[in-house]
Amino acid sequence: MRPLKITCWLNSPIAGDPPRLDALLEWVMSAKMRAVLESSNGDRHTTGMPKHRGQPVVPGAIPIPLARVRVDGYPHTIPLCSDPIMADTSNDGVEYFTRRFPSEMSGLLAPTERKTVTVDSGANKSYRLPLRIRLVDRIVWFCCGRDKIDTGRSAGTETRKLLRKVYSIGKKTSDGYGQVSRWDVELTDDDFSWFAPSHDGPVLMRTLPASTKFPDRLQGFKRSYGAPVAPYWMAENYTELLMPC
Amino acid sequence: MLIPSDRHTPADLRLWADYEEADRVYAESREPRLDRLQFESVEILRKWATGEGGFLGTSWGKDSVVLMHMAHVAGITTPRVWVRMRSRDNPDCEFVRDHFNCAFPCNYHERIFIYEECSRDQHWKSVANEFGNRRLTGLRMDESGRRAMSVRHLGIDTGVSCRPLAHWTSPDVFAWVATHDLPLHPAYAMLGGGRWPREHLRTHGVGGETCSNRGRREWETEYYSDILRRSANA
Repeated sequence: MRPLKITCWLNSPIAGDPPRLDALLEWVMSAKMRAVLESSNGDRHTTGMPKHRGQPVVPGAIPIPLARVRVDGYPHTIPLCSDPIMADTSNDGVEYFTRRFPSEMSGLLAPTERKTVTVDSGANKSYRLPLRIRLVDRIVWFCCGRDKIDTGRSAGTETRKLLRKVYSIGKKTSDGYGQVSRWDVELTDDDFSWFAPSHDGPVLMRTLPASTKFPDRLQGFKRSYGAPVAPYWMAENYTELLMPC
Repeated sequence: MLIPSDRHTPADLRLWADYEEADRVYAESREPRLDRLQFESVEILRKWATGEGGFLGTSWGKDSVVLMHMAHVAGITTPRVWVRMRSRDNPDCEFVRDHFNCAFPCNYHERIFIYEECSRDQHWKSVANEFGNRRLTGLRMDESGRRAMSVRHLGIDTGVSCRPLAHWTSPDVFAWVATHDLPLHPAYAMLGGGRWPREHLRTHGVGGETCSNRGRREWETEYYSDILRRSANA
Protein backbone atom coordinates (compact mmCIF):
# COMPACT_ATOMS: atom_id res chain seq x y z
CA MET A 1 0.00 0.00 0.00
CA ARG A 2 1.27 3.46 -0.90
CA PRO A 3 0.52 6.28 1.58
CA LEU A 4 -0.61 9.38 -0.29
CA LYS A 5 -1.39 12.96 0.53
CA ILE A 6 -3.94 14.54 -1.76
CA THR A 7 -4.43 18.29 -1.83
CA CYS A 8 -7.23 20.13 -3.53
CA TRP A 9 -6.36 23.79 -4.20
CA LEU A 10 -9.43 26.00 -4.43
CA ASN A 11 -9.84 29.33 -6.12
CA SER A 12 -13.31 30.11 -4.80
CA PRO A 13 -15.02 29.61 -1.40
CA ILE A 14 -16.53 26.21 -0.68
CA ALA A 15 -20.24 25.91 0.06
CA GLY A 16 -21.42 23.27 2.51
CA ASP A 17 -19.04 20.55 3.66
CA PRO A 18 -16.20 19.14 1.57
CA PRO A 19 -16.78 15.59 0.29
CA ARG A 20 -14.92 12.50 1.39
CA LEU A 21 -12.28 11.44 -1.11
CA ASP A 22 -13.50 7.86 -1.53
CA ALA A 23 -16.98 9.14 -2.38
CA LEU A 24 -15.50 11.61 -4.85
CA LEU A 25 -13.46 8.90 -6.59
CA GLU A 26 -16.48 6.59 -6.73
CA TRP A 27 -18.48 9.41 -8.27
CA VAL A 28 -15.85 9.86 -10.99
CA MET A 29 -15.57 6.11 -11.58
CA SER A 30 -19.34 5.73 -11.77
CA ALA A 31 -19.30 7.75 -15.00
CA LYS A 32 -17.40 4.88 -16.59
CA MET A 33 -19.63 2.08 -15.35
CA ARG A 34 -22.08 0.53 -17.75
CA ALA A 35 -24.67 -0.11 -15.02
CA VAL A 36 -24.70 3.52 -13.96
CA LEU A 37 -24.75 4.85 -17.51
CA GLU A 38 -27.63 2.57 -18.46
CA SER A 39 -29.63 3.50 -15.37
CA SER A 40 -29.45 7.21 -16.18
CA ASN A 41 -29.33 7.12 -19.96
CA GLY A 42 -25.72 8.22 -19.92
CA ASP A 43 -26.40 11.38 -17.96
CA ARG A 44 -25.66 11.49 -14.24
CA HIS A 45 -27.75 14.62 -13.82
CA THR A 46 -31.09 13.13 -14.77
CA THR A 47 -34.21 13.92 -12.78
CA GLY A 48 -36.99 11.60 -11.70
CA MET A 49 -36.89 8.09 -10.28
CA PRO A 50 -33.61 6.27 -11.07
CA LYS A 51 -34.00 2.78 -12.52
CA HIS A 52 -31.90 1.25 -9.75
CA ARG A 53 -34.10 2.70 -6.95
CA GLY A 54 -34.96 -0.11 -4.58
CA GLN A 55 -32.01 -2.22 -5.76
CA PRO A 56 -29.39 -2.90 -3.09
CA VAL A 57 -26.25 -0.81 -3.54
CA VAL A 58 -23.20 -2.75 -2.36
CA PRO A 59 -20.59 -0.47 -0.79
CA GLY A 60 -17.21 -0.97 -2.40
CA ALA A 61 -18.65 -2.31 -5.67
CA ILE A 62 -17.31 0.70 -7.58
CA PRO A 63 -13.55 0.15 -7.93
CA ILE A 64 -11.32 3.01 -6.79
CA PRO A 65 -7.53 3.09 -6.44
CA LEU A 66 -7.70 3.32 -2.62
CA ALA A 67 -7.02 0.31 -0.38
CA ARG A 68 -9.88 -1.06 1.70
CA VAL A 69 -9.74 -2.84 5.04
CA ARG A 70 -12.33 -4.90 6.87
CA VAL A 71 -12.97 -4.00 10.53
CA ASP A 72 -14.61 -6.04 13.27
CA GLY A 73 -18.38 -5.88 13.50
CA TYR A 74 -19.09 -4.15 10.17
CA PRO A 75 -19.96 -6.08 7.00
CA HIS A 76 -18.35 -3.79 4.41
CA THR A 77 -14.72 -2.89 3.78
CA ILE A 78 -13.67 0.63 4.73
CA PRO A 79 -11.35 2.72 2.52
CA LEU A 80 -7.99 3.73 3.97
CA CYS A 81 -8.68 7.42 3.58
CA SER A 82 -9.00 10.26 6.08
CA ASP A 83 -11.92 12.64 6.34
CA PRO A 84 -11.29 15.99 4.58
CA ILE A 85 -8.95 18.31 6.47
CA MET A 86 -9.47 22.00 5.83
CA ALA A 87 -6.73 24.56 6.12
CA ASP A 88 -7.41 27.52 8.43
CA THR A 89 -10.68 29.10 7.42
CA SER A 90 -10.10 32.79 6.79
CA ASN A 91 -13.83 33.46 6.56
CA ASP A 92 -16.67 31.27 7.81
CA GLY A 93 -20.03 32.78 6.96
CA VAL A 94 -23.48 32.07 5.69
CA GLU A 95 -25.34 33.00 2.53
CA TYR A 96 -28.95 32.29 1.65
CA PHE A 97 -30.54 30.85 -1.42
CA THR A 98 -34.17 31.67 -1.77
CA ARG A 99 -37.23 31.14 -3.86
CA ARG A 100 -40.52 32.97 -3.69
CA PHE A 101 -43.54 32.64 -5.91
CA PRO A 102 -44.17 36.09 -7.44
CA SER A 103 -47.79 36.41 -6.30
CA GLU A 104 -47.66 40.20 -6.80
CA MET A 105 -47.52 39.53 -10.56
CA SER A 106 -50.96 37.91 -10.56
CA GLY A 107 -52.48 41.24 -11.65
CA LEU A 108 -50.81 40.80 -15.01
CA LEU A 109 -52.91 37.73 -15.73
CA ALA A 110 -56.35 37.89 -17.23
CA PRO A 111 -58.99 37.27 -14.53
CA THR A 112 -60.05 34.06 -16.26
CA GLU A 113 -56.46 32.72 -16.10
CA ARG A 114 -55.98 33.27 -12.35
CA LYS A 115 -55.99 30.30 -10.03
CA THR A 116 -54.92 29.41 -6.49
CA VAL A 117 -51.30 28.38 -6.05
CA THR A 118 -50.04 26.84 -2.79
CA VAL A 119 -46.80 28.44 -1.68
CA ASP A 120 -46.54 26.67 1.71
CA SER A 121 -45.84 23.23 0.24
CA GLY A 122 -45.33 21.41 -3.03
CA ALA A 123 -43.52 22.54 -6.15
CA ASN A 124 -44.04 26.24 -5.48
CA LYS A 125 -43.01 26.22 -1.81
CA SER A 126 -41.14 29.36 -0.88
CA TYR A 127 -37.86 28.97 0.98
CA ARG A 128 -34.88 30.84 2.36
CA LEU A 129 -32.17 28.33 3.14
CA PRO A 130 -28.79 29.04 4.71
CA LEU A 131 -25.64 27.83 3.04
CA ARG A 132 -22.37 27.70 4.94
CA ILE A 133 -19.61 29.39 2.95
CA ARG A 134 -15.98 28.96 3.94
CA LEU A 135 -12.99 30.63 2.39
CA VAL A 136 -10.17 28.09 2.39
CA ASP A 137 -7.28 27.77 0.01
CA ARG A 138 -6.89 23.99 0.19
CA ILE A 139 -8.39 20.75 1.45
CA VAL A 140 -6.22 17.75 2.24
CA TRP A 141 -6.89 14.02 2.48
CA PHE A 142 -4.45 11.33 3.62
CA CYS A 143 -5.01 7.93 2.08
CA CYS A 144 -3.40 4.67 1.05
CA GLY A 145 -3.40 3.57 -2.56
CA ARG A 146 -3.90 -0.02 -3.64
CA ASP A 147 -0.84 -2.09 -4.61
CA LYS A 148 -2.40 -3.58 -7.70
CA ILE A 149 -4.46 -1.46 -10.06
CA ASP A 150 -6.17 -3.11 -13.02
CA THR A 151 -4.91 -0.44 -15.39
CA GLY A 152 -1.27 -1.20 -14.49
CA ARG A 153 -0.63 2.37 -13.33
CA SER A 154 0.44 3.24 -9.79
CA ALA A 155 -2.29 4.21 -7.31
CA GLY A 156 -1.01 7.80 -7.25
CA THR A 157 -1.14 8.13 -11.02
CA GLU A 158 -4.57 6.56 -11.23
CA THR A 159 -5.91 8.80 -8.45
CA ARG A 160 -4.48 11.88 -10.15
CA LYS A 161 -6.04 10.80 -13.45
CA LEU A 162 -9.47 10.41 -11.86
CA LEU A 163 -9.32 13.64 -9.88
CA ARG A 164 -8.39 15.65 -12.97
CA LYS A 165 -12.04 15.32 -13.96
CA VAL A 166 -13.26 16.99 -10.76
CA TYR A 167 -13.51 20.70 -11.49
CA SER A 168 -15.45 21.74 -8.41
CA ILE A 169 -16.46 20.35 -5.02
CA GLY A 170 -19.10 21.13 -2.39
CA LYS A 171 -22.56 22.57 -2.93
CA LYS A 172 -23.78 25.12 -5.47
CA THR A 173 -20.83 24.60 -7.78
CA SER A 174 -22.90 25.94 -10.66
CA ASP A 175 -22.95 29.27 -8.80
CA GLY A 176 -19.15 29.29 -8.76
CA TYR A 177 -18.48 27.87 -5.32
CA GLY A 178 -15.76 25.29 -4.70
CA GLN A 179 -13.89 25.77 -7.98
CA VAL A 180 -10.77 23.60 -8.06
CA SER A 181 -7.59 25.16 -9.38
CA ARG A 182 -5.27 22.18 -8.94
CA TRP A 183 -5.04 18.65 -7.54
CA ASP A 184 -1.73 17.56 -5.95
CA VAL A 185 -1.08 13.88 -5.30
CA GLU A 186 2.08 13.28 -3.26
CA LEU A 187 3.69 10.15 -1.88
CA THR A 188 4.26 10.26 1.88
CA ASP A 189 6.36 8.14 4.22
CA ASP A 190 3.70 7.53 6.87
CA ASP A 191 0.10 6.47 6.70
CA PHE A 192 -2.23 8.99 8.41
CA SER A 193 -5.41 7.72 6.76
CA TRP A 194 -7.13 6.52 9.96
CA PHE A 195 -4.91 7.67 12.83
CA ALA A 196 -2.21 10.31 13.21
CA PRO A 197 0.29 10.41 16.07
CA SER A 198 0.25 13.17 18.70
CA HIS A 199 1.78 13.76 22.15
CA ASP A 200 -1.47 12.79 23.90
CA GLY A 201 -2.10 9.67 21.82
CA PRO A 202 -3.30 8.76 18.33
CA VAL A 203 -5.78 11.19 16.78
CA LEU A 204 -8.74 9.79 14.85
CA MET A 205 -8.60 10.91 11.21
CA ARG A 206 -11.58 9.11 9.70
CA THR A 207 -15.15 8.30 10.67
CA LEU A 208 -15.09 4.62 11.61
CA PRO A 209 -17.59 2.11 13.01
CA ALA A 210 -17.60 2.11 16.82
CA SER A 211 -16.95 -1.64 16.69
CA THR A 212 -13.45 -1.04 15.23
CA LYS A 213 -10.50 -2.01 17.44
CA PHE A 214 -9.09 1.41 18.27
CA PRO A 215 -5.62 2.09 19.64
CA ASP A 216 -5.24 3.06 23.30
CA ARG A 217 -5.49 6.73 24.32
CA LEU A 218 -7.41 7.67 21.18
CA GLN A 219 -7.90 11.46 20.87
CA GLY A 220 -10.11 13.86 18.93
CA PHE A 221 -13.30 11.91 18.39
CA LYS A 222 -16.99 12.01 19.20
CA ARG A 223 -19.73 9.41 18.98
CA SER A 224 -22.27 9.62 16.20
CA TYR A 225 -24.49 7.53 13.94
CA GLY A 226 -24.32 7.21 10.17
CA ALA A 227 -22.62 5.44 7.29
CA PRO A 228 -18.85 4.86 7.45
CA VAL A 229 -18.63 3.97 3.76
CA ALA A 230 -19.92 5.47 0.53
CA PRO A 231 -22.74 5.97 -0.35
CA TYR A 232 -22.90 7.98 2.87
CA TRP A 233 -26.58 8.84 2.43
CA MET A 234 -27.70 5.21 2.39
CA ALA A 235 -29.61 4.38 5.57
CA GLU A 236 -28.95 0.62 5.21
CA ASN A 237 -25.26 1.27 5.95
CA TYR A 238 -25.87 3.27 9.12
CA THR A 239 -24.16 2.12 12.28
CA GLU A 240 -22.72 3.50 15.51
CA LEU A 241 -19.68 5.62 14.67
CA LEU A 242 -16.70 7.41 16.06
CA MET A 243 -15.98 10.54 14.08
CA PRO A 244 -13.14 13.05 14.21
CA CYS A 245 -13.90 16.40 15.88
CA MET B 1 -27.26 28.31 33.27
CA LEU B 2 -26.47 26.73 29.93
CA ILE B 3 -26.41 22.95 30.11
CA PRO B 4 -23.13 21.81 28.57
CA SER B 5 -23.12 19.44 25.62
CA ASP B 6 -20.41 17.75 23.58
CA ARG B 7 -22.20 19.07 20.50
CA HIS B 8 -20.95 22.59 21.30
CA THR B 9 -17.84 23.74 19.49
CA PRO B 10 -15.21 25.97 21.17
CA ALA B 11 -16.39 28.85 18.92
CA ASP B 12 -19.96 28.31 20.13
CA LEU B 13 -18.95 28.45 23.78
CA ARG B 14 -16.87 31.61 23.30
CA LEU B 15 -19.82 33.31 21.64
CA TRP B 16 -22.22 32.07 24.31
CA ALA B 17 -20.06 33.57 27.09
CA ASP B 18 -20.45 36.95 25.35
CA TYR B 19 -24.19 36.46 24.97
CA GLU B 20 -24.58 35.55 28.62
CA GLU B 21 -22.70 38.64 29.72
CA ALA B 22 -24.92 40.75 27.44
CA ASP B 23 -28.01 39.09 28.97
CA ARG B 24 -26.93 40.08 32.46
CA VAL B 25 -26.29 43.66 31.37
CA TYR B 26 -29.72 43.70 29.69
CA ALA B 27 -31.38 42.37 32.84
CA GLU B 28 -29.67 45.00 34.99
CA SER B 29 -30.61 47.86 32.69
CA ARG B 30 -34.21 46.67 32.16
CA GLU B 31 -35.01 45.58 35.70
CA PRO B 32 -38.28 47.56 35.96
CA ARG B 33 -39.50 46.08 32.66
CA LEU B 34 -38.69 42.52 33.70
CA ASP B 35 -40.41 43.07 37.08
CA ARG B 36 -43.50 44.36 35.30
CA LEU B 37 -43.53 41.40 32.90
CA GLN B 38 -43.17 38.97 35.79
CA PHE B 39 -46.00 40.65 37.71
CA GLU B 40 -48.25 40.53 34.64
CA SER B 41 -47.48 36.85 33.89
CA VAL B 42 -47.99 35.74 37.49
CA GLU B 43 -51.34 37.57 37.63
CA ILE B 44 -52.46 35.87 34.39
CA LEU B 45 -51.42 32.46 35.70
CA ARG B 46 -53.24 32.91 39.03
CA LYS B 47 -56.38 34.07 37.26
CA TRP B 48 -56.18 31.14 34.80
CA ALA B 49 -55.70 28.67 37.66
CA THR B 50 -59.06 29.62 39.16
CA GLY B 51 -60.70 27.87 36.19
CA GLU B 52 -61.36 24.14 35.98
CA GLY B 53 -58.96 21.59 34.45
CA GLY B 54 -56.19 22.29 32.02
CA PHE B 55 -52.46 21.80 31.91
CA LEU B 56 -49.22 23.61 31.27
CA GLY B 57 -47.54 22.36 28.10
CA THR B 58 -43.77 22.35 28.12
CA SER B 59 -41.18 21.57 25.46
CA TRP B 60 -38.17 22.42 27.67
CA GLY B 61 -37.17 25.30 25.45
CA LYS B 62 -36.34 28.74 26.88
CA ASP B 63 -39.95 29.94 26.90
CA SER B 64 -41.15 26.76 28.59
CA VAL B 65 -38.53 27.10 31.29
CA VAL B 66 -39.54 30.71 32.00
CA LEU B 67 -43.23 29.73 31.96
CA MET B 68 -42.57 26.86 34.39
CA HIS B 69 -40.65 29.27 36.61
CA MET B 70 -43.52 31.76 36.50
CA ALA B 71 -45.92 28.97 37.43
CA HIS B 72 -43.67 28.11 40.37
CA VAL B 73 -43.57 31.78 41.46
CA ALA B 74 -47.35 32.00 41.10
CA GLY B 75 -47.71 28.89 43.24
CA ILE B 76 -50.15 27.12 40.92
CA THR B 77 -50.36 23.32 40.97
CA THR B 78 -51.55 22.82 37.39
CA PRO B 79 -50.13 19.61 35.85
CA ARG B 80 -47.06 20.26 33.73
CA VAL B 81 -47.11 18.01 30.64
CA TRP B 82 -44.32 17.30 28.19
CA VAL B 83 -45.74 15.85 24.96
CA ARG B 84 -42.95 13.73 23.51
CA MET B 85 -42.51 12.12 20.11
CA ARG B 86 -40.95 8.68 20.16
CA SER B 87 -37.59 8.50 18.33
CA ARG B 88 -37.72 12.21 17.42
CA ASP B 89 -37.19 13.86 20.78
CA ASN B 90 -34.36 16.25 21.14
CA PRO B 91 -32.17 14.19 23.51
CA ASP B 92 -30.93 17.25 25.42
CA CYS B 93 -34.44 18.12 26.65
CA GLU B 94 -34.14 15.42 29.29
CA PHE B 95 -31.20 17.23 30.88
CA VAL B 96 -33.23 20.45 31.13
CA ARG B 97 -36.14 18.50 32.62
CA ASP B 98 -33.95 16.85 35.24
CA HIS B 99 -32.25 20.10 36.24
CA PHE B 100 -35.52 22.03 36.45
CA ASN B 101 -37.54 19.39 38.27
CA CYS B 102 -34.73 18.96 40.77
CA ALA B 103 -34.69 22.70 41.53
CA PHE B 104 -38.48 23.25 41.31
CA PRO B 105 -40.41 20.04 42.08
CA CYS B 106 -43.89 20.15 40.53
CA ASN B 107 -46.87 18.09 39.36
CA TYR B 108 -45.07 16.77 36.27
CA HIS B 109 -46.24 14.34 33.55
CA GLU B 110 -44.97 13.03 30.23
CA ARG B 111 -46.95 11.55 27.37
CA ILE B 112 -45.29 9.83 24.42
CA PHE B 113 -46.73 9.70 20.91
CA ILE B 114 -45.64 8.51 17.48
CA TYR B 115 -44.88 11.43 15.17
CA GLU B 116 -46.32 9.81 12.04
CA GLU B 117 -49.66 9.26 13.79
CA CYS B 118 -50.09 12.87 14.89
CA SER B 119 -50.51 14.71 11.61
CA ARG B 120 -53.91 16.05 12.74
CA ASP B 121 -52.96 17.08 16.29
CA GLN B 122 -54.11 13.76 17.73
CA HIS B 123 -51.51 14.16 20.48
CA TRP B 124 -52.99 17.42 21.73
CA LYS B 125 -56.50 15.99 21.58
CA SER B 126 -55.39 13.00 23.63
CA VAL B 127 -53.72 15.19 26.27
CA ALA B 128 -56.75 17.49 26.35
CA ASN B 129 -59.01 14.47 26.99
CA GLU B 130 -56.88 13.50 29.96
CA PHE B 131 -56.05 16.86 31.55
CA GLY B 132 -58.73 19.20 30.19
CA ASN B 133 -59.10 21.35 27.11
CA ARG B 134 -57.35 24.42 28.54
CA ARG B 135 -53.63 24.86 28.28
CA LEU B 136 -50.90 27.28 29.22
CA THR B 137 -48.26 27.78 26.54
CA GLY B 138 -45.07 29.81 26.21
CA LEU B 139 -46.21 31.48 22.98
CA ARG B 140 -44.92 35.04 22.55
CA MET B 141 -45.94 37.84 20.17
CA ASP B 142 -42.28 38.48 19.44
CA GLU B 143 -41.87 35.08 17.78
CA SER B 144 -43.75 35.77 14.56
CA GLY B 145 -46.25 38.09 12.94
CA ARG B 146 -48.85 35.34 12.96
CA ARG B 147 -48.51 34.84 16.72
CA ALA B 148 -48.62 38.58 17.35
CA MET B 149 -51.79 38.76 15.26
CA SER B 150 -53.29 35.88 17.22
CA VAL B 151 -52.74 37.63 20.56
CA ARG B 152 -54.03 40.95 19.24
CA HIS B 153 -57.18 39.37 17.84
CA LEU B 154 -57.96 36.69 20.43
CA GLY B 155 -56.30 38.14 23.52
CA ILE B 156 -53.93 36.47 25.93
CA ASP B 157 -56.46 33.82 26.97
CA THR B 158 -58.56 32.38 24.16
CA GLY B 159 -60.41 30.02 26.47
CA VAL B 160 -58.41 27.08 25.13
CA SER B 161 -54.91 28.50 25.00
CA CYS B 162 -53.52 30.96 27.54
CA ARG B 163 -50.23 32.77 26.75
CA PRO B 164 -48.86 34.39 29.91
CA LEU B 165 -45.56 35.27 28.21
CA ALA B 166 -47.23 36.97 25.24
CA HIS B 167 -45.52 40.33 25.85
CA TRP B 168 -42.04 38.97 26.57
CA THR B 169 -39.36 39.45 23.92
CA SER B 170 -36.46 37.06 23.25
CA PRO B 171 -33.94 39.29 25.08
CA ASP B 172 -36.34 39.41 28.07
CA VAL B 173 -36.51 35.61 28.17
CA PHE B 174 -32.76 35.08 27.85
CA ALA B 175 -32.10 37.77 30.47
CA TRP B 176 -34.58 36.16 32.88
CA VAL B 177 -32.96 32.74 32.43
CA ALA B 178 -29.47 34.17 32.93
CA THR B 179 -30.26 36.15 36.07
CA HIS B 180 -32.35 33.44 37.75
CA ASP B 181 -29.91 30.64 36.99
CA LEU B 182 -32.58 28.58 35.24
CA PRO B 183 -31.42 25.55 33.22
CA LEU B 184 -31.17 26.39 29.54
CA HIS B 185 -31.25 23.91 26.68
CA PRO B 186 -27.82 23.41 25.05
CA ALA B 187 -29.35 24.04 21.60
CA TYR B 188 -29.34 27.80 22.24
CA ALA B 189 -25.55 27.80 22.19
CA MET B 190 -25.33 25.71 19.02
CA LEU B 191 -24.67 28.84 17.06
CA GLY B 192 -22.32 27.64 14.34
CA GLY B 193 -19.81 30.15 15.66
CA GLY B 194 -22.32 32.94 14.91
CA ARG B 195 -24.01 31.68 11.75
CA TRP B 196 -27.23 30.73 13.54
CA PRO B 197 -29.18 33.45 15.42
CA ARG B 198 -30.08 32.04 18.82
CA GLU B 199 -33.56 33.60 18.73
CA HIS B 200 -34.50 31.27 15.89
CA LEU B 201 -33.19 28.03 17.38
CA ARG B 202 -35.79 25.54 18.54
CA THR B 203 -35.71 22.57 20.85
CA HIS B 204 -38.65 20.48 19.74
CA GLY B 205 -38.41 17.08 18.04
CA VAL B 206 -35.74 16.59 15.40
CA GLY B 207 -36.69 15.97 11.76
CA GLY B 208 -40.10 17.63 11.55
CA GLU B 209 -41.43 19.66 8.65
CA THR B 210 -42.15 22.96 10.45
CA CYS B 211 -39.75 25.73 9.34
CA SER B 212 -38.00 23.32 6.95
CA ASN B 213 -37.99 26.13 4.40
CA ARG B 214 -36.05 28.41 6.76
CA GLY B 215 -32.97 26.35 7.48
CA ARG B 216 -34.20 24.12 10.28
CA ARG B 217 -33.00 21.04 8.41
CA GLU B 218 -29.55 22.54 7.85
CA TRP B 219 -29.13 23.39 11.53
CA GLU B 220 -30.27 19.92 12.60
CA THR B 221 -27.90 18.33 10.10
CA GLU B 222 -25.04 20.34 11.59
CA TYR B 223 -25.75 19.56 15.24
CA TYR B 224 -28.10 16.57 15.45
CA SER B 225 -27.22 14.54 12.34
CA ASP B 226 -27.00 11.35 14.40
CA ILE B 227 -30.56 11.79 15.69
CA LEU B 228 -31.83 12.63 12.21
CA ARG B 229 -30.28 9.44 10.81
CA ARG B 230 -31.58 7.35 13.69
CA SER B 231 -35.11 8.63 13.11
CA ALA B 232 -34.74 7.94 9.37
CA ASN B 233 -33.66 4.41 10.14
CA ALA B 234 -36.24 3.77 12.87
